[in-house]
Amino acid sequence: MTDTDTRVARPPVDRTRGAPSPLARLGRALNQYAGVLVVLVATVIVLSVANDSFLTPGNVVNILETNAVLLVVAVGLTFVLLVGGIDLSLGGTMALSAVGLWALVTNGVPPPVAAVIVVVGAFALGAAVNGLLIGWVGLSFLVVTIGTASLYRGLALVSTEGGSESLFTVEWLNQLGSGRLLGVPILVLISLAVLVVGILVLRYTGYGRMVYAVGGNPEAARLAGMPVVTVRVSVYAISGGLAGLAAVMLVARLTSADPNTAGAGIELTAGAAVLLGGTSFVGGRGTLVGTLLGVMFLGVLSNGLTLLGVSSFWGGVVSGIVLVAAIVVDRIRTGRATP
Amino acid sequence: MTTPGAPAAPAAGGPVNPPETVLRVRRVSKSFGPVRALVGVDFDVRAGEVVALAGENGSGKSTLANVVAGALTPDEGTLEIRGTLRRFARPRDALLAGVALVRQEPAAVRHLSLAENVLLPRLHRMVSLVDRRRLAEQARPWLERVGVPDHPLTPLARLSTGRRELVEVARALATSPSVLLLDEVTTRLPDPEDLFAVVESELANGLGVVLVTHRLREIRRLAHRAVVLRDGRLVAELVRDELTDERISSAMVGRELGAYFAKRDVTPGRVVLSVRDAVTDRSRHRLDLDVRAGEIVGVAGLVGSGRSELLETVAGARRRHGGTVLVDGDPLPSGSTRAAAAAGVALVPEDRLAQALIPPHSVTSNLVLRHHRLTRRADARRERRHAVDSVARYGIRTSAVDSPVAALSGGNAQKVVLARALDAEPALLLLDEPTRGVDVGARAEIYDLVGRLVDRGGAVLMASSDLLELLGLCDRIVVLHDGAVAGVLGRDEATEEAVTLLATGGSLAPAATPNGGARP
Repeated sequence: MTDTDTRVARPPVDRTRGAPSPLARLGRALNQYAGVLVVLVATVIVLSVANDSFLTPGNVVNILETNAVLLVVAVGLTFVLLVGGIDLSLGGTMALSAVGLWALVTNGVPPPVAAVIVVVGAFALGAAVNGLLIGWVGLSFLVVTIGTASLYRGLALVSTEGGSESLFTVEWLNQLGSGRLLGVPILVLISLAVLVVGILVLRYTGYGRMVYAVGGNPEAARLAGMPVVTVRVSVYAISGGLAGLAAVMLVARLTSADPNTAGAGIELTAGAAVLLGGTSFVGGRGTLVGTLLGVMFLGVLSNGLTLLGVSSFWGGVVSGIVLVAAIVVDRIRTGRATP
Repeated sequence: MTTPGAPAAPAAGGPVNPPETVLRVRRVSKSFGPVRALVGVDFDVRAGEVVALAGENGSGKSTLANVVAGALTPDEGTLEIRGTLRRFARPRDALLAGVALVRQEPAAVRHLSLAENVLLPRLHRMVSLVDRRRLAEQARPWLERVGVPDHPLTPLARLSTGRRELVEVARALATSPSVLLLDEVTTRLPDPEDLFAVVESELANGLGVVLVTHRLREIRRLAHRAVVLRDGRLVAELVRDELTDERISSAMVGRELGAYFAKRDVTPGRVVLSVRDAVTDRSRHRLDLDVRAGEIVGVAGLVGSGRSELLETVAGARRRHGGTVLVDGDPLPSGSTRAAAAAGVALVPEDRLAQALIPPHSVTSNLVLRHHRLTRRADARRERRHAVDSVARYGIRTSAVDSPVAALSGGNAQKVVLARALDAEPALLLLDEPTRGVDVGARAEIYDLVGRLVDRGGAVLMASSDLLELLGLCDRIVVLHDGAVAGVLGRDEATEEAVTLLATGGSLAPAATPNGGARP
């Protein structure tokens, strides 16, 4: 064709050239997290004015420590939400993992080995049950994970006959739960390590890109030759494995395994944190930095209310309002439906 | 309401008495963000008249129809219905003012009966319990008028697509409108003549009809006048005598048609694709097909003839129920997109938003979709460089490579899909409706890109419902009918008539070979 040369010569619009400046990237990042960042900063300012002890290093570490378990679970749940699914069995997985840890340790397995077995076991269970039923067989993630939630917690309750089992005498767990490294609680270090690894995986690996692509449009991902089933199965394995790790951390912190309360309702709290952080409910959009901000907001809120002497039940009310408001504001801002 | 009258006065002279103007549109503008979809459009429709609203995809004709029907509020401008100034906040206002819209995508409720569907706009007024028998009695005359013989209490889902469209028209007529808008309604009709007859019989009752279409044949058949939109502006108003294909299309396109198809002469090389005895999801027969290097082979056929199924089966997107597919002599496993991609097969699927792109993700993300490997590092900087390079090389017009691909026009989005497919320098490129919803300029660029792949020795198998495109580009055309190869036409034998005949189940003189073997 004759117009070939002119077409090739047509320069692209300038903005497509080169990488965006750091300032532009910062601006985009701020815009991306605007909702949760604004309320988080506002909450921090209000609380630090209202209470002198709020912005002390000790209290900040305290907030991180209190929410380390939640952060680990929320990281796993972010992977699942990014592919457009949900995992409501995280609390049940934690209960079963906690009881599993207790059983292994009381039967003479060295605690570090027991912890690894629990995490690997929870990972395998997530892949084999939720992962295969949802990702491979193609069943509804809601139905499957509601079912496994009840199944796992039920199994945990059966094995202890409903009782709470103490592990107070296990020194390694005590160390893990209350020990510090350079003044920072080990649990906080673990949760931040999980977060950083998660960020690296999502941003810098082909697998991470596939998670976004499968969540954004599974059909396009499939036709582009991506292993859609593998990706779908893997996110339930990751969320299961991290729930197992969260259970080990929880047991270490409480030095007991209680199948009734371990992880009870945590999937919904973690879900609220992930959604507050801007991750889309239908997949394909969201970041772990957002998830961290979401967890921090929930943590700061409940810590602040406690410091102010307000009933912590108000925390649920406020975070519920903020979550719905965040979605409304995002809708107004972007002028379209936020799925 | 009046009985179905005689057809309207012959179009040549138009209605005899000075007819009432049922719709008057003045200076209507509408923008979506930075995109000016309509710019100061004026037009009138008189009683008893069919006005065609013509234009390419994206010219603004559907936006205009939606403004008139109250589904969109114009930024500026006024609407008058039968001389009364109207402002519509929602579709219901337009309906009450006498404007009825029949959409391309039907708004019907499948599990409700015909009667309920016809009377749907009026059901909300019936506070009392719904008496199905009374509904049936009320709906019956409307159904008869559009020529649907089924009982009014039949569930809509039982009807064929064509009849459902007629039910939509019956519903519109049941609101006793002054203005009837038909928005691309014939795309799903096997025989639009039924609908045309209904429309013509209604004209005598003083109805004004706006026919939104890009099909020249329909305009010639039905319209008294045509209003042509381009880039949101009214560029031509043609009366009956001027309604020739040339006049309408050059107004739509803005330049004369002609140089869009470059017939290339490439000597076919080795056999790249060889399909033997393949059974696809749709086919009841075994398909045979060869495509050689340097060849463009077209796949023609009606909707449902198995065109997409054939392409998707070759690409590994669908399972094969038998037979073999060889690419460069190596057999492909059934149902593996990865194996097909590794063998050098690239597919540009039929529905780019649903099958090819991730609309909310950036142009960059969409361009590099095929680059990722599970365990390989993803380098954002390299991806970006690649995107910037592709945008320049393929002439993709976008404000930035970080913009969501959903913000691109149809033609530019298609160029993203094509760029991704061509990146791998495929041995075999499968194109399914490559220019659907693509404007004329981008269309030429897409043909050019495909042509250059063929020059380099690539093989192309292309399915399209645009016959002119197939006739213009392809070395051979494989015509499918009901899942079987009805015939293969070489370049000298391929005419619009021959393809249509084979596609509709007719048979051809001995010239056509019965199977898809390549020409010697």
